[in-house]
Amino acid sequence: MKKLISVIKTYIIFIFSIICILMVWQIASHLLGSDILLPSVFSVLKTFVSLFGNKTFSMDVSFTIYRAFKSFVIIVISSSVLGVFGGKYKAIGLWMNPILTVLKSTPVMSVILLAFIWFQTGTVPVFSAFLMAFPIMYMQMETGYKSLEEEMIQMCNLYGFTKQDQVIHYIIPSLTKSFIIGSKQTLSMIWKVVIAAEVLTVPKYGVGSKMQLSQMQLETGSVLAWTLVAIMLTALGDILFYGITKMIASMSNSKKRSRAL
Amino acid sequence: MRIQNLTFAYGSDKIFDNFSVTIPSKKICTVVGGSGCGKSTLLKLIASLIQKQSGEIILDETEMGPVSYLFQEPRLLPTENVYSNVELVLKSSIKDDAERKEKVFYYLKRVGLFQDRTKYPSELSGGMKQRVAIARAFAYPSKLILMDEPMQGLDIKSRQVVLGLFADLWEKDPRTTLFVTHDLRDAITRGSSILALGDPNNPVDFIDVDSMRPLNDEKYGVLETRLLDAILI
Repeated sequence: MKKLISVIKTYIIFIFSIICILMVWQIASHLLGSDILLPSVFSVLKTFVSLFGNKTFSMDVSFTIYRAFKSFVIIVISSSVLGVFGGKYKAIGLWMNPILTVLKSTPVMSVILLAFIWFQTGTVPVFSAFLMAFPIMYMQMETGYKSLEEEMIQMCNLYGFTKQDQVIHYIIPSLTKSFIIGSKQTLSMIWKVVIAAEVLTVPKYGVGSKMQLSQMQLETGSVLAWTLVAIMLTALGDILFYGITKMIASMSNSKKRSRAL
Repeated sequence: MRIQNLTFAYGSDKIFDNFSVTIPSKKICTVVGGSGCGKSTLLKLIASLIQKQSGEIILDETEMGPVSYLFQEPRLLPTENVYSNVELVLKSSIKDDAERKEKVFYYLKRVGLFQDRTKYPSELSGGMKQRVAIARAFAYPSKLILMDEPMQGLDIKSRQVVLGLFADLWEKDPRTTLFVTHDLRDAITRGSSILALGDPNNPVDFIDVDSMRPLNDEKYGVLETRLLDAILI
Protein backbone atom coordinates (compact mmCIF):
# COMPACT_ATOMS: atom_id res chain seq x y z
CA MET A 1 0.00 0.00 0.00
CA LYS A 2 2.82 2.38 1.00
CA LYS A 3 4.59 1.56 -2.27
CA LEU A 4 1.42 2.26 -4.28
CA ILE A 5 1.00 5.65 -2.59
CA SER A 6 4.64 6.46 -3.33
CA VAL A 7 4.18 5.48 -7.03
CA ILE A 8 0.99 7.59 -7.30
CA LYS A 9 2.83 10.54 -5.67
CA THR A 10 5.68 10.19 -8.19
CA TYR A 11 3.24 10.24 -11.12
CA ILE A 12 1.34 13.24 -9.71
CA ILE A 13 4.61 15.21 -9.37
CA PHE A 14 5.67 14.13 -12.89
CA ILE A 15 2.36 15.21 -14.45
CA PHE A 16 2.34 18.46 -12.44
CA SER A 17 5.87 19.24 -13.72
CA ILE A 18 4.75 18.74 -17.35
CA ILE A 19 1.66 20.90 -16.79
CA CYS A 20 3.93 23.67 -15.38
CA ILE A 21 6.20 23.56 -18.47
CA LEU A 22 3.18 23.72 -20.79
CA MET A 23 1.67 26.59 -18.80
CA VAL A 24 4.90 28.64 -18.94
CA TRP A 25 5.12 27.92 -22.68
CA GLN A 26 1.49 28.94 -23.29
CA ILE A 27 1.86 32.14 -21.22
CA ALA A 28 5.12 33.07 -23.01
CA SER A 29 3.50 32.42 -26.40
CA HIS A 30 0.50 34.57 -25.43
CA LEU A 31 2.75 37.41 -24.24
CA LEU A 32 4.95 37.34 -27.37
CA GLY A 33 1.90 37.11 -29.60
CA SER A 34 3.89 35.82 -32.59
CA ASP A 35 3.66 32.33 -34.11
CA ILE A 36 7.13 32.75 -35.63
CA LEU A 37 8.78 33.52 -32.29
CA LEU A 38 6.83 31.03 -30.17
CA PRO A 39 3.68 29.31 -31.36
CA SER A 40 1.06 28.20 -28.83
CA VAL A 41 1.02 24.74 -27.27
CA PHE A 42 -2.13 23.80 -29.15
CA SER A 43 -0.77 24.93 -32.50
CA VAL A 44 2.41 22.87 -32.00
CA LEU A 45 0.40 19.83 -30.93
CA LYS A 46 -1.71 20.21 -34.07
CA THR A 47 1.42 20.34 -36.22
CA PHE A 48 2.82 17.37 -34.31
CA VAL A 49 -0.24 15.26 -35.07
CA SER A 50 -0.15 16.33 -38.71
CA LEU A 51 3.47 15.08 -38.99
CA PHE A 52 2.22 11.49 -38.79
CA GLY A 53 0.36 12.04 -42.04
CA ASN A 54 3.52 13.31 -43.70
CA LYS A 55 4.66 11.01 -46.55
CA THR A 56 8.29 10.84 -45.42
CA PHE A 57 7.61 10.84 -41.66
CA SER A 58 8.26 7.13 -41.15
CA MET A 59 11.42 7.31 -43.31
CA ASP A 60 12.71 10.35 -41.38
CA VAL A 61 12.14 8.69 -38.03
CA SER A 62 13.43 5.30 -39.19
CA PHE A 63 16.69 6.74 -40.54
CA THR A 64 17.31 8.71 -37.34
CA ILE A 65 16.60 5.61 -35.25
CA TYR A 66 18.85 3.53 -37.53
CA ARG A 67 21.74 6.02 -37.17
CA ALA A 68 21.28 6.23 -33.40
CA PHE A 69 21.04 2.46 -33.04
CA LYS A 70 24.09 1.88 -35.26
CA SER A 71 26.12 4.38 -33.22
CA PHE A 72 24.88 2.83 -29.98
CA VAL A 73 25.91 -0.70 -30.96
CA ILE A 74 29.35 0.42 -32.19
CA ILE A 75 29.98 2.53 -29.07
CA VAL A 76 28.72 -0.04 -26.57
CA ILE A 77 30.82 -2.86 -28.05
CA SER A 78 34.02 -0.91 -28.64
CA SER A 79 34.03 1.14 -25.44
CA SER A 80 33.03 -1.80 -23.24
CA VAL A 81 35.90 -3.91 -24.56
CA LEU A 82 38.41 -1.06 -24.41
CA GLY A 83 37.07 0.12 -21.02
CA VAL A 84 37.56 -3.32 -19.50
CA PHE A 85 41.09 -3.55 -20.92
CA GLY A 86 41.78 0.01 -19.73
CA GLY A 87 40.70 -0.98 -16.24
CA LYS A 88 42.64 -4.24 -16.28
CA TYR A 89 45.87 -3.03 -17.85
CA LYS A 90 47.29 0.24 -16.55
CA ALA A 91 49.27 0.86 -19.76
CA ILE A 92 46.10 0.79 -21.89
CA GLY A 93 44.34 3.10 -19.42
CA LEU A 94 47.22 5.58 -19.60
CA TRP A 95 47.35 5.32 -23.39
CA MET A 96 43.63 6.09 -23.63
CA ASN A 97 43.81 9.12 -21.29
CA PRO A 98 44.94 11.79 -23.80
CA ILE A 99 42.47 10.49 -26.42
CA LEU A 100 39.62 10.78 -23.92
CA THR A 101 40.71 14.26 -22.83
CA VAL A 102 40.70 15.44 -26.46
CA LEU A 103 37.31 13.84 -27.17
CA LYS A 104 35.73 15.20 -23.99
CA SER A 105 36.89 18.77 -24.60
CA THR A 106 36.21 18.99 -28.36
CA PRO A 107 33.01 20.94 -29.11
CA VAL A 108 30.29 18.83 -30.75
CA MET A 109 30.02 21.29 -33.64
CA SER A 110 33.74 20.99 -34.48
CA VAL A 111 33.41 17.23 -34.71
CA ILE A 112 30.32 17.45 -36.91
CA LEU A 113 31.87 20.07 -39.22
CA LEU A 114 35.09 18.07 -39.59
CA ALA A 115 33.16 14.86 -40.17
CA PHE A 116 31.13 16.66 -42.82
CA ILE A 117 34.36 17.41 -44.68
CA TRP A 118 35.58 13.83 -44.40
CA PHE A 119 32.43 11.68 -44.86
CA GLN A 120 29.14 11.40 -46.71
CA THR A 121 26.15 13.05 -45.05
CA GLY A 122 24.62 9.80 -43.76
CA THR A 123 27.84 8.74 -42.05
CA VAL A 124 28.44 12.06 -40.27
CA PRO A 125 25.82 11.56 -37.51
CA VAL A 126 27.12 8.07 -36.72
CA PHE A 127 30.77 9.16 -36.69
CA SER A 128 30.05 12.29 -34.61
CA ALA A 129 27.93 10.36 -32.11
CA PHE A 130 30.71 7.79 -31.79
CA LEU A 131 33.35 10.40 -30.98
CA MET A 132 31.13 12.28 -28.55
CA ALA A 133 29.63 9.35 -26.66
CA PHE A 134 32.59 6.95 -26.66
CA PRO A 135 34.32 8.55 -23.62
CA ILE A 136 31.13 8.30 -21.51
CA MET A 137 30.78 4.55 -21.92
CA TYR A 138 34.53 3.92 -21.81
CA MET A 139 34.95 5.74 -18.51
CA GLN A 140 32.01 3.93 -16.91
CA MET A 141 33.41 0.55 -17.90
CA GLU A 142 36.99 1.41 -16.91
CA THR A 143 35.87 2.65 -13.48
CA GLY A 144 33.58 -0.37 -13.12
CA TYR A 145 36.43 -2.76 -13.81
CA LYS A 146 38.77 -0.93 -11.42
CA SER A 147 36.22 -1.23 -8.64
CA LEU A 148 36.17 -5.04 -8.83
CA GLU A 149 37.23 -6.32 -5.42
CA GLU A 150 40.56 -8.09 -5.30
CA GLU A 151 39.29 -10.01 -2.26
CA MET A 152 36.44 -11.52 -4.27
CA ILE A 153 38.82 -12.62 -7.03
CA GLN A 154 40.99 -14.16 -4.31
CA MET A 155 37.95 -16.03 -2.95
CA CYS A 156 37.08 -17.30 -6.45
CA ASN A 157 40.63 -18.57 -6.93
CA LEU A 158 40.75 -20.27 -3.52
CA TYR A 159 37.44 -22.05 -4.11
CA GLY A 160 38.55 -23.35 -7.50
CA PHE A 161 36.33 -21.21 -9.77
CA THR A 162 37.26 -21.59 -13.42
CA LYS A 163 38.07 -18.35 -15.30
CA GLN A 164 34.76 -18.74 -17.13
CA ASP A 165 32.81 -19.00 -13.87
CA GLN A 166 34.64 -15.97 -12.43
CA VAL A 167 33.66 -13.95 -15.48
CA ILE A 168 30.03 -15.17 -15.54
CA HIS A 169 29.31 -15.10 -11.82
CA TYR A 170 31.42 -12.22 -10.54
CA ILE A 171 32.98 -9.96 -13.18
CA ILE A 172 30.03 -9.52 -15.57
CA PRO A 173 27.43 -9.02 -12.78
CA SER A 174 29.75 -6.49 -11.09
CA LEU A 175 30.13 -4.56 -14.34
CA THR A 176 26.40 -4.59 -15.11
CA LYS A 177 25.65 -1.47 -13.08
CA SER A 178 28.39 0.52 -14.86
CA PHE A 179 27.20 -0.90 -18.20
CA ILE A 180 23.59 0.17 -17.61
CA ILE A 181 24.52 3.68 -16.38
CA GLY A 182 26.99 4.12 -19.25
CA SER A 183 24.51 2.86 -21.85
CA LYS A 184 21.76 5.21 -20.62
CA GLN A 185 24.06 8.24 -20.71
CA THR A 186 25.44 7.16 -24.09
CA LEU A 187 21.98 6.74 -25.54
CA SER A 188 20.79 10.21 -24.52
CA MET A 189 24.04 11.75 -25.86
CA ILE A 190 23.66 9.83 -29.14
CA TRP A 191 20.15 11.20 -29.85
CA LYS A 192 21.36 14.76 -29.33
CA VAL A 193 24.49 14.41 -31.50
CA VAL A 194 22.80 12.40 -34.28
CA ILE A 195 20.00 14.97 -34.62
CA ALA A 196 22.46 17.91 -34.39
CA ALA A 197 24.57 16.32 -37.14
CA GLU A 198 21.47 15.79 -39.27
CA VAL A 199 20.57 19.46 -38.81
CA LEU A 200 23.99 20.54 -40.06
CA THR A 201 24.48 18.02 -42.85
CA VAL A 202 20.84 17.62 -43.95
CA PRO A 203 20.79 14.01 -45.21
CA LYS A 204 17.80 13.06 -47.40
CA TYR A 205 15.87 11.52 -44.50
CA GLY A 206 16.20 12.35 -40.81
CA VAL A 207 14.45 14.16 -37.95
CA GLY A 208 17.28 16.73 -37.90
CA SER A 209 16.95 17.36 -41.65
CA LYS A 210 13.27 18.14 -41.23
CA MET A 211 14.04 20.50 -38.34
CA GLN A 212 16.53 22.35 -40.52
CA LEU A 213 14.07 22.63 -43.43
CA SER A 214 11.33 23.87 -41.07
CA GLN A 215 13.70 26.44 -39.59
CA MET A 216 14.69 27.70 -43.06
CA GLN A 217 11.00 28.21 -43.85
CA LEU A 218 10.49 29.97 -40.49
CA GLU A 219 7.99 27.28 -39.44
CA THR A 220 8.69 27.47 -35.71
CA GLY A 221 5.70 25.29 -34.95
CA SER A 222 7.14 22.56 -37.16
CA VAL A 223 10.61 22.90 -35.56
CA LEU A 224 9.00 22.44 -32.15
CA ALA A 225 6.86 19.53 -33.38
CA TRP A 226 9.98 17.74 -34.71
CA THR A 227 11.69 18.54 -31.40
CA LEU A 228 8.81 16.80 -29.70
CA VAL A 229 9.41 13.79 -31.97
CA ALA A 230 13.09 13.83 -30.92
CA ILE A 231 12.12 13.99 -27.23
CA MET A 232 9.70 11.11 -27.69
CA LEU A 233 12.34 9.04 -29.47
CA THR A 234 14.73 9.62 -26.54
CA ALA A 235 12.03 8.71 -24.03
CA LEU A 236 11.01 5.60 -26.00
CA GLY A 237 14.67 4.58 -26.26
CA ASP A 238 15.01 4.91 -22.48
CA ILE A 239 11.82 2.94 -21.84
CA LEU A 240 12.87 0.21 -24.26
CA PHE A 241 16.33 -0.02 -22.70
CA TYR A 242 14.83 -0.11 -19.19
CA GLY A 243 12.38 -2.81 -20.29
CA ILE A 244 15.11 -4.96 -21.85
CA THR A 245 17.41 -4.71 -18.79
CA LYS A 246 14.49 -5.49 -16.45
CA MET A 247 13.51 -8.47 -18.59
CA ILE A 248 17.07 -9.84 -18.67
CA ALA A 249 17.42 -9.38 -14.89
CA SER A 250 14.10 -11.06 -14.23
CA MET A 251 14.94 -13.99 -16.57
CA SER A 252 18.32 -14.43 -14.91
CA ASN A 253 16.75 -14.32 -11.41
CA SER A 254 14.05 -16.83 -12.25
CA LYS A 255 16.65 -19.15 -13.79
CA LYS A 256 18.75 -18.97 -10.61
CA ARG A 257 15.64 -19.47 -8.50
CA SER A 258 14.50 -22.52 -10.42
CA ARG A 259 17.95 -24.08 -10.02
CA ALA A 260 17.68 -23.69 -6.26
CA LEU A 261 14.22 -25.27 -5.97
CA MET B 1 51.45 -29.71 9.22
CA ARG B 2 55.01 -28.71 9.90
CA ILE B 3 56.20 -25.17 9.53
CA GLN B 4 59.97 -25.01 9.47
CA ASN B 5 62.21 -21.92 9.72
CA LEU B 6 59.58 -19.72 8.16
CA THR B 7 60.75 -16.18 7.46
CA PHE B 8 58.49 -13.45 6.14
CA ALA B 9 58.56 -9.66 6.22
CA TYR B 10 56.43 -6.85 4.85
CA GLY B 11 59.25 -4.60 3.61
CA SER B 12 61.51 -4.03 6.63
CA ASP B 13 58.78 -5.14 9.04
CA LYS B 14 59.69 -8.70 10.00
CA ILE B 15 56.67 -10.83 10.85
CA PHE B 16 58.26 -14.31 11.08
CA ASP B 17 61.94 -14.98 11.64
CA ASN B 18 62.90 -18.67 11.51
CA PHE B 19 59.51 -19.59 12.88
CA SER B 20 58.80 -23.29 13.40
CA VAL B 21 55.79 -25.15 14.73
CA THR B 22 53.92 -28.42 14.18
CA ILE B 23 50.15 -28.29 13.86
CA PRO B 24 48.31 -31.57 14.59
CA SER B 25 46.33 -33.06 11.70
CA LYS B 26 42.54 -33.25 11.68
CA LYS B 27 42.31 -31.09 14.80
CA ILE B 28 41.33 -27.49 15.41
CA CYS B 29 44.28 -25.31 16.27
CA THR B 30 43.28 -21.85 17.42
CA VAL B 31 45.67 -18.98 16.75
CA VAL B 32 45.80 -15.99 19.08
CA GLY B 33 48.03 -12.94 19.26
CA GLY B 34 48.03 -9.17 19.29
CA SER B 35 47.28 -7.05 16.24
CA GLY B 36 49.99 -7.22 13.59
CA CYS B 37 51.71 -10.27 15.08
CA GLY B 38 51.12 -12.28 11.90
CA LYS B 39 48.00 -14.37 12.55
CA SER B 40 46.36 -13.57 9.21
CA THR B 41 49.74 -13.59 7.47
CA LEU B 42 50.31 -17.14 8.66
CA LEU B 43 47.03 -18.28 7.10
CA LYS B 44 47.81 -16.45 3.86
CA LEU B 45 51.24 -18.12 3.72
CA ILE B 46 49.68 -21.55 4.26
CA ALA B 47 47.09 -20.87 1.52
CA SER B 48 49.87 -19.52 -0.75
CA LEU B 49 48.05 -16.20 -1.10
CA ILE B 50 51.42 -14.62 -0.34
CA GLN B 51 54.85 -16.13 -0.86
CA LYS B 52 57.22 -16.92 1.99
CA GLN B 53 60.76 -15.56 1.79
CA SER B 54 62.33 -18.70 3.20
CA GLY B 55 61.46 -21.82 5.17
CA GLU B 56 59.04 -24.61 4.50
CA ILE B 57 55.41 -25.44 5.08
CA ILE B 58 55.13 -29.22 4.90
CA LEU B 59 51.61 -30.55 4.69
CA ASP B 60 50.55 -33.94 5.90
CA GLU B 61 49.09 -36.29 3.27
CA THR B 62 45.61 -35.68 4.68
CA GLU B 63 46.04 -31.92 4.24
CA MET B 64 47.22 -31.76 0.64
CA GLY B 65 44.75 -30.32 -1.85
CA PRO B 66 42.21 -27.55 -1.95
CA VAL B 67 41.82 -25.14 0.97
CA SER B 68 38.60 -23.75 2.44
CA TYR B 69 39.13 -20.21 3.64
CA LEU B 70 36.71 -18.38 5.93
CA PHE B 71 37.46 -14.69 5.71
CA GLN B 72 36.64 -11.90 8.15
CA GLU B 73 33.89 -10.86 5.74
CA PRO B 74 31.77 -13.67 4.23
CA ARG B 75 32.80 -12.76 0.64
CA LEU B 76 29.63 -14.09 -0.98
CA LEU B 77 28.91 -13.41 -4.64
CA PRO B 78 26.42 -10.53 -4.37
CA THR B 79 24.41 -11.40 -7.49
CA GLU B 80 24.08 -15.11 -6.72
CA ASN B 81 21.55 -16.53 -4.29
CA VAL B 82 22.40 -18.62 -1.23
CA TYR B 83 22.08 -21.87 -3.19
CA SER B 84 24.38 -20.76 -6.03
CA ASN B 85 26.98 -19.39 -3.63
CA VAL B 86 27.43 -22.89 -2.26
CA GLU B 87 26.80 -24.78 -5.49
CA LEU B 88 29.46 -22.95 -7.49
CA VAL B 89 32.32 -24.29 -5.37
CA LEU B 90 31.19 -27.83 -6.19
CA LYS B 91 31.03 -27.43 -9.96
CA SER B 92 34.55 -28.68 -10.60
CA SER B 93 34.32 -31.68 -8.26
CA ILE B 94 30.74 -32.89 -8.84
CA LYS B 95 29.68 -32.91 -12.48
CA ASP B 96 26.26 -34.47 -11.94
CA ASP B 97 23.64 -31.74 -11.32
CA ALA B 98 21.36 -33.87 -9.12
CA GLU B 99 24.24 -35.07 -6.96
CA ARG B 100 25.53 -31.51 -6.61
CA LYS B 101 22.10 -30.25 -5.64
CA GLU B 102 21.74 -32.97 -3.02
CA LYS B 103 25.05 -31.98 -1.44
CA VAL B 104 24.18 -28.26 -1.43
CA PHE B 105 20.80 -29.02 0.15
CA TYR B 106 22.50 -31.14 2.81
CA TYR B 107 24.82 -28.33 3.89
CA LEU B 108 22.15 -25.64 3.70
CA LYS B 109 19.94 -27.76 5.94
CA ARG B 110 22.82 -28.24 8.36
CA VAL B 111 23.37 -24.49 8.69
CA GLY B 112 19.62 -23.83 8.86
CA LEU B 113 19.38 -21.89 5.60
CA PHE B 114 17.48 -24.33 3.44
CA GLN B 115 14.34 -22.16 3.50
CA ASP B 116 16.42 -19.11 2.58
CA ARG B 117 18.21 -20.71 -0.36
CA THR B 118 16.64 -18.41 -2.97
CA LYS B 119 17.58 -15.25 -1.06
CA TYR B 120 20.43 -13.00 -2.09
CA PRO B 121 23.26 -11.89 0.24
CA SER B 122 21.75 -8.40 0.50
CA GLU B 123 18.66 -9.97 2.07
CA LEU B 124 20.63 -11.80 4.78
CA SER B 125 21.89 -10.72 8.21
CA GLY B 126 25.63 -10.82 9.01
CA GLY B 127 25.22 -14.10 10.88
CA MET B 128 23.28 -15.71 8.03
CA LYS B 129 25.92 -14.63 5.51
CA GLN B 130 28.64 -16.20 7.66
CA ARG B 131 26.54 -19.39 7.87
CA VAL B 132 26.47 -19.50 4.05
CA ALA B 133 30.24 -19.04 4.08
CA ILE B 134 30.55 -21.97 6.52
CA ALA B 135 28.30 -24.16 4.35
CA ARG B 136 30.46 -23.24 1.35
CA ALA B 137 33.68 -24.02 3.25
CA PHE B 138 32.46 -27.47 4.31
CA ALA B 139 30.80 -28.31 0.99
CA TYR B 140 34.06 -27.58 -0.80
CA PRO B 141 36.12 -30.78 -0.95
CA SER B 142 39.06 -29.28 0.93
CA LYS B 143 41.56 -30.92 3.19
CA LEU B 144 42.35 -27.85 5.23
CA ILE B 145 40.16 -25.13 6.73
CA LEU B 146 41.64 -21.72 7.45
CA MET B 147 39.48 -19.32 9.47
CA ASP B 148 40.59 -15.72 9.69
CA GLU B 149 38.41 -14.29 12.47
CA PRO B 150 35.16 -15.04 10.63
CA MET B 151 33.04 -14.21 13.69
CA GLN B 152 34.41 -10.69 13.95
CA GLY B 153 31.62 -8.16 13.67
CA LEU B 154 28.85 -10.57 14.67
CA ASP B 155 26.71 -9.93 17.74
CA ILE B 156 27.05 -12.36 20.66
CA LYS B 157 24.00 -14.43 19.75
CA SER B 158 24.91 -14.80 16.06
CA ARG B 159 28.46 -15.58 17.04
CA GLN B 160 27.36 -18.44 19.30
CA VAL B 161 25.02 -19.79 16.63
CA VAL B 162 27.71 -19.67 13.92
CA LEU B 163 30.33 -21.22 16.21
CA GLY B 164 27.88 -23.97 17.21
CA LEU B 165 27.09 -24.78 13.57
CA PHE B 166 30.76 -24.79 12.72
CA ALA B 167 31.53 -27.21 15.60
CA ASP B 168 28.64 -29.43 14.54
CA LEU B 169 29.80 -29.64 10.91
CA TRP B 170 33.40 -30.11 11.95
CA GLU B 171 32.50 -33.05 14.25
CA LYS B 172 30.87 -34.81 11.26
CA ASP B 173 33.73 -34.03 8.90
CA PRO B 174 36.94 -33.23 10.80
CA ARG B 175 39.69 -31.51 8.79
CA THR B 176 42.86 -29.80 9.92
CA THR B 177 41.70 -26.34 10.92
CA LEU B 178 43.51 -23.17 11.87
CA PHE B 179 41.13 -20.77 13.57
CA VAL B 180 42.40 -17.24 14.15
CA THR B 181 40.51 -15.50 16.94
CA HIS B 182 40.87 -12.54 19.29
CA ASP B 183 38.68 -14.21 21.86
CA LEU B 184 40.72 -16.20 24.40
CA ARG B 185 37.60 -18.03 25.56
CA ASP B 186 36.92 -19.28 22.01
CA ALA B 187 40.58 -20.18 21.65
CA ILE B 188 40.55 -22.29 24.82
CA THR B 189 37.14 -23.93 24.40
CA ARG B 190 37.19 -24.57 20.63
CA GLY B 191 40.81 -25.53 20.01
CA SER B 192 42.50 -28.88 20.54
CA SER B 193 45.64 -26.81 20.65
CA ILE B 194 46.47 -23.12 20.78
CA LEU B 195 49.18 -21.29 18.90
CA ALA B 196 49.93 -18.02 20.70
CA LEU B 197 51.97 -15.63 18.58
CA GLY B 198 54.19 -13.01 20.17
CA ASP B 199 56.81 -10.90 18.43
CA PRO B 200 59.35 -12.29 15.91
CA ASN B 201 62.03 -12.65 18.62
CA ASN B 202 59.84 -14.65 20.93
CA PRO B 203 57.36 -15.99 18.47
CA VAL B 204 55.42 -18.83 19.81
CA ASP B 205 53.82 -20.65 22.64
CA PHE B 206 52.12 -23.87 21.56
CA ILE B 207 49.67 -25.33 24.04
CA ASP B 208 48.13 -28.78 23.76
CA VAL B 209 44.75 -28.04 25.32
CA ASP B 210 43.36 -31.55 24.79
CA SER B 211 45.97 -32.98 27.16
CA MET B 212 44.67 -30.64 29.87
CA ARG B 213 41.00 -31.50 29.54
CA PRO B 214 38.64 -31.60 31.33
CA LEU B 215 39.23 -27.94 32.08
CA ASN B 216 38.20 -26.81 35.52
CA ASP B 217 38.20 -23.18 36.62
CA GLU B 218 41.77 -23.43 37.93
CA LYS B 219 43.20 -24.93 34.71
CA TYR B 220 41.23 -22.45 32.63
CA GLY B 221 42.68 -19.56 34.66
CA VAL B 222 46.23 -20.93 34.28
CA LEU B 223 45.74 -21.28 30.52
CA GLU B 224 44.34 -17.80 30.20
CA THR B 225 47.26 -16.30 32.12
CA ARG B 226 49.75 -18.25 30.00
CA LEU B 227 48.13 -17.02 26.80
CA LEU B 228 48.06 -13.44 27.99
CA ASP B 229 51.76 -13.70 28.93
CA ALA B 230 52.59 -15.05 25.47
CA ILE B 231 50.58 -12.41 23.65
CA LEU B 232 51.54 -9.42 25.77
CA ILE B 233 55.31 -9.83 25.51
